[in-house]
Parts: sequence; structure tokens; C-alpha cells
Amino acid sequence: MEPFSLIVELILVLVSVFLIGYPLVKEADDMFVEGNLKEAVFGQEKESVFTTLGEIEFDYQMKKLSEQDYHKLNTNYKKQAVALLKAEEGNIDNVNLAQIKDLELEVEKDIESELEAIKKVTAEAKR
Amino acid sequence: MAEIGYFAIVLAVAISAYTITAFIISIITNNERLKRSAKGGVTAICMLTTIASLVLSYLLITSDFSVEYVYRYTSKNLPLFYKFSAFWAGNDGSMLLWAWVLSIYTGIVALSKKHKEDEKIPYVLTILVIINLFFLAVIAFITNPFVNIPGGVVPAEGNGLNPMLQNPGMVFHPITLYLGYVGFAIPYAFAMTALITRKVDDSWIKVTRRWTVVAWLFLTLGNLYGAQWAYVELGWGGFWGWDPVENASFIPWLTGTAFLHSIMIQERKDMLKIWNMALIIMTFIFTLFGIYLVRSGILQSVHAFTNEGGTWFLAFMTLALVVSLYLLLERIQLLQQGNQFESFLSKESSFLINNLLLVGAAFATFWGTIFPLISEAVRGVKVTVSVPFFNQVNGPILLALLFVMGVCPLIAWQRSSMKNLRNNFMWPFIAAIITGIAIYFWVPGRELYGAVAFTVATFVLFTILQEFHRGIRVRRKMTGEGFLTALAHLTVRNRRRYGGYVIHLGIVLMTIAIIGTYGYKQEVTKTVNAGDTIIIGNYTLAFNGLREKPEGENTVVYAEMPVTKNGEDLGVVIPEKVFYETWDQPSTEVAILGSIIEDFYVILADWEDRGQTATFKVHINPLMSWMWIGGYVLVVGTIFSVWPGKGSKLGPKYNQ
Repeated sequence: MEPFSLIVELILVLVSVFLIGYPLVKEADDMFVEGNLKEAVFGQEKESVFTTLGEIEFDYQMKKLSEQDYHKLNTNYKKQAVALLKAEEGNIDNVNLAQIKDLELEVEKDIESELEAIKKVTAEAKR
Repeated sequence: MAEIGYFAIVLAVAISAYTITAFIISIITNNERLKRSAKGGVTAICMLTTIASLVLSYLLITSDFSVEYVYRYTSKNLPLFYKFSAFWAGNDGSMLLWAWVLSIYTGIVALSKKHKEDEKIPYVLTILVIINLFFLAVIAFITNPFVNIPGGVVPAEGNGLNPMLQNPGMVFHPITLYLGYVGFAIPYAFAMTALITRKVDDSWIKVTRRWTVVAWLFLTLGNLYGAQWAYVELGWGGFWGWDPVENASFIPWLTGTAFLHSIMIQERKDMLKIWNMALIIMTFIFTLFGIYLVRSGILQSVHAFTNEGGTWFLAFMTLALVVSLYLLLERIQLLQQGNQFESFLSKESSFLINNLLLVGAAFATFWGTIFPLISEAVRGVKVTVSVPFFNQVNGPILLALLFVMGVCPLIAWQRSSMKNLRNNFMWPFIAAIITGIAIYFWVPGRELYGAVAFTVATFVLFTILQEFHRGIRVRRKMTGEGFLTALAHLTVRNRRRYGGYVIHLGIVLMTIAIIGTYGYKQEVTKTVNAGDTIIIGNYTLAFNGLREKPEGENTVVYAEMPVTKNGEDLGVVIPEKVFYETWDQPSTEVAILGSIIEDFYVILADWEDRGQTATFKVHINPLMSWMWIGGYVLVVGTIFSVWPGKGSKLGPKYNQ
């Protein structure tokens, strides 16, 4: 065997041993942080709900959704968005069902009044 | 030098064994240090396969004929570009390329910051390293590319590279194909991890979406480069011959495409979990089937290697299938939870139809590919399943698929009403019907099947254009932006959606090329004497005798043939046959006069009487160049849709 090959092979062994051996003796520098993961999941959920709302609006404008489906879906996801925003303002872990229900009622009320206003405008236009 | 390459492979085998053991123990004992050590093992495998690959490249480039692989696939006069591409010209090198790519992909997963806190990663890496250990072991013990030449006498010159492989298409075809094949191992490993850890929500899909899209892109490119190579190099006038090895790369493309679409349904609607698992298992197993088919020697193909390691691949493929199916059946209860379909008129239903068609085409192709083997095993007679079977079975399926591709983007998630369908489909439908009728009556030949196919293709084309038009109009209405700004914001902020439309556009263009070349092709084979002409369509081709010229150590026999179309001079085409000093078989160099309307394609088939009489095959392949243009459009669309940034992130989730 040529000396050059022998040296290179030795280096390969040493580097490989270092790569698998060093972490065994090195102190852990980055422990698994559960909080970060929770925040990331929460962030994804929030983004997902808002993107869905945007898509529903867009699909409705593109005439892919019926009026009825649009309002049903829109109401549904707005409730979720409000709940998530409120949860973000407070402590993520402390959002209880009662709070979410209150928020849902609040959003439903808003939507009903919006629909009433639309109906009024349509009725006036017909006259 | 070769011994360094082999040593790196053997060391990589040992490190792989350690890495798998370390990961398993660290998972059981929750030992963080051991886990990090195993991750170090992944880095070491990556480094070692890279070293082995660099050594092989060096040996090929320096024409070190003391190594058998270098002797068999290169010669001193081979251009540097092809010396490098000889890396994957043979079975041994292509196995190393596979292991190298997989080790790099595994390294990327291991070192990704995104996965740092993901507790499932050790499982994923264990699966990937097990797959790579198999490949490395095959290289070390069966297909070693670093073996010295038998007898120890170094030849002065190498055997040379098969001339058919001396084409840019054949340089990029294997590498893109492998990048695609190997890429599907990543979502497979994440899927198996989800089953093992019983965490079968959509997190594995979110993490692997980009991997899946990129693997699909490479597999698409691999197939496309293969088609381009066959078109210009094989000299039979077409680009796809339903050869078993071509099918072997087309089948995982079909199931991979189905997977790519159906994961969107799981992501958004929490549905089809079992189906998605089944699809990724199928896709991964079909990639292994592809390797097995190429290496087993069981089927005849221009692309196949001799039987080297085929049995081992069959065993590994069977093992992977059994383990995957066991896990799937064991966890089926978990996968059954989720939402149900609400309406047949919904995007998710159209996705499901798309999936069934894709998988149907995959199994039809698979059946046609393996039927000769089954026939031989059962009846003792090897039956040939040829092009008409595949065209007749897959033609209607792929046409239906194209139609669904047009329908899918226009309907909403959850449910669509007839009114919505009317609103969205009326104009594309009318435009497509008018186009179809016009094509049927105006294009010579009155091909009904071709006209129907064009109608469907133009329907999809118009739906895509309408989507862009309506999207821009809505955005302008909502924001008051100008046309171009609205277009830019619309597409960039919804990159997944609009990138997808661009990919569909590319597919439509490619389909238009396929319909044109299959439905409206003209061809003639004619033996002519010097001074004669060949007339085909509006073209006239003059033959003035064959000539011969040296080209390096090779000899080229060629004909300079003036071409006119409707009396207008189009220049000269030069079909050739090249005879090689280091290769028995001559190669065919096709002459192509291409435009976006059609390709005028001339092959020098044979000659006699010292070149005064020659036989030519002449084809007019309508719309052929749209195949390649469509391919580039597809690449642009794919890159656009996966480019990092807000618009490419996760899609909405309809969880009610």
C-alpha cells in the first residue's frame, strides 16, 4: 500500500471517529425546549386560520363559493381567528372553553348585525 | 488512489452500522449524547461517500485504466465532460451515485435547523441510514467500482464510453432521475416514522412537502431528459417507446404525482391518511423496483445493466414492502380518524379522481411491464407487451386525467354548486369546443381522437388562463392595484397555488406535443438514388449521395440534403452515422429541422452501392418542441412554488 493512501485512510478514520466520538464527551449545548415547539405550533395554527380566511374570501370573489357556504365558512373561521388572537394576548395555556364560547357569541352577533345592514341596503336599493 | 475510494466505502458501511445501533439505543434510553453521536455518524457517512465519489471522478478524469470500471467506460480521447459522466454510465458507478445522493440528503435532514427540536428525527435518520447501509454494502461486496483490472497489466487505452451515452441528455438524465428516486426516500422515512411513533397527523406531510416536490421535479426532469435523449439519439423517430426501463421511471412518477396531490387533502381536510401512506409506500417501492428492473437482467432494454446485485435488490424491496405494509396495517385504526367527503362536487373529490386515474395508469403500466415475466413463469412463453397496449390503455386514462386537471382548480374545497360550476366552466368549455371543432375540420387527416384530445387540452389551458385573469381582476377590485402589480402580488403571495397552475400549464404544453406527434405524425421510409428527392407533406428533401469524413479517431458517413417547404429553401440537413474506433456499433445522428410548429426529422438508415443509394426515414413530428418548452415551464412553476418565503408556506386548513 502506498504511504499517501495510508495517510489519507488514517485521516478518514480519525475524522470519522471524531465526528461520532466528540458528541459523546461534549456537554449538551442545546436542550430540547418544549416552549419553543408549542409557540411554533400555535404560530402555524394562527397562520393556517388566517390563510384559510383569505382563501375563502378570494374563492367567493372568484365565484367558486356560494353565498351561503361563504357566510358559513367565513363565520366559522372568524370565530377561530378571534379565539386564537385572544389566546395570544393572554396566556396560551389559559384559554378555556367558556372564554371561546363568549368570543363565538360575540363574533356571531357582529356577523348578524353585518348581515342585517346588508339586507337593509339591498331592500333600499330594490325600492 | 482506488484503494482510498474502496476504504471510504467500507468505512462508511461500518459507520452506518454504528449509526443505526446508536440511534436505536439512544431512542430506547433517551440518551442525548448518543443521539448526537449518531448524527455525527450521518455526517461521517456523507463525508466518506463524498470522498469515494471524488476518488472515482479523479480516476475517470485521469484515465487510470488500472481500475476496471475506468477501463470499461472511458478512453483517453473522450471529452472531459463525458469522462465525468462515465461515473454513472455503468452499474457500479450508478450505485455509488445513489448512495452518495442519499447520504447527502440524509445529511441535510440531520443538520437542518428546522428539525433540531423534532424528536422524530432520530427515527427518520435511522430508516434513511438503513436504506443507505444496504446500498453501501452492495457497493462494498458486489458492485465495487474500485476493483483493479484483472491480471494487473494496465491497458494503454480504455474501452470507451458507449457512443449512445455521449449526449448531453444522457449526462443529465441519470443524475436527475437518481435525485428524484432518492428524494422520495425522505417522505417515505418520515411516513414510516409517523407510523412507528403513532403520530400520524399531518406534521410529516408539512415537513416533507418541499422534499416531495423537489424529488418529483427531478424525476420529471429525469424522464424528460431521457425522452429528449431517445428522440435525438436512438433514431427511431419518437421519444417514448414504453421500454421496461422507461416504464420503471414513469411508474413512480405517476404514484409520486398522485401523492403530491393527495397530501394536499390531508393537509387541508385531514382526510385520506391511509391512502397517503399507501401512496408513499408504493412510490418508494416502485423506485426500488426501478433499480431492480435495470439491474436484474430479467428484461431486455437498451437502458439495462447486466445482472449485478439484482437478487439482493429483490430481497431488499420485498423486505421494505413487508415491513411497510405491516406498519400500515398495524396502525390502520389511527389512520382511520379524520374528516369525510361532504360532496362529490368538491375539490377534494376531484383530487381523489385524479389520484385514482394516476394510480390506475401506474398499475396498467406496471402490469404491462411485468406481464412478460408472469407469462413466462406461468405458461413458459415470454409474451411481448408493446407500444399499442400502453397507448391504448394509458391514452384514455391520461386524457381523463388532463380533464380533471382542468376541473380541479376551478371548484372550491368542501362543496361546489351547479351555479359555481357554470360560472367557472362556461367560457373555457365553449372556447375548447370551438377549438376542437376547428382542429377537426381544418387540420388535414380529420383525426377524431386527436381533435377530442386537443379539445380537452385547450379546455385546461383556458381554465388556467381564466384563473389568472379572474385572480388579477379580483385583486385589482380589492386593492386597486395596477395589472402588473396585481399579477405579481397575486402570484408571489399565493406561490403554491399559482406555481401549481404554471406546472399544469407546462403539462398542458407537453400534452399538446404528445397529441401532435402521436395523432398527426407523418412518416416515410424510402430508398433513393443520388439525384432523387423524397417528398413528405409540404417538404421536399434532395439526396446527392453519401460522403465520408474522419472526426478524430472516428469515421462519419453523412448526407448533405437540401430541404424545401412549399418551394421555399429551408437550408440543409445532415443525417449521420458515426463509426467508432473503440466501439463495435455505429451511432445514429439524427438531423432535425425544428420549429414551434413541427420538427422535420431525418434518419440515415442504410446504404449500398458506395453511398450512391441510401435509405432514409423521414418524419414530420408536429408540435414536438412544445414538449421541451412545456418541460421548462414546469421547472419554472415548480421552483416558483417551493421557493422559500411566505407565499410558499403551508396552505389553509379546512378542519370543519
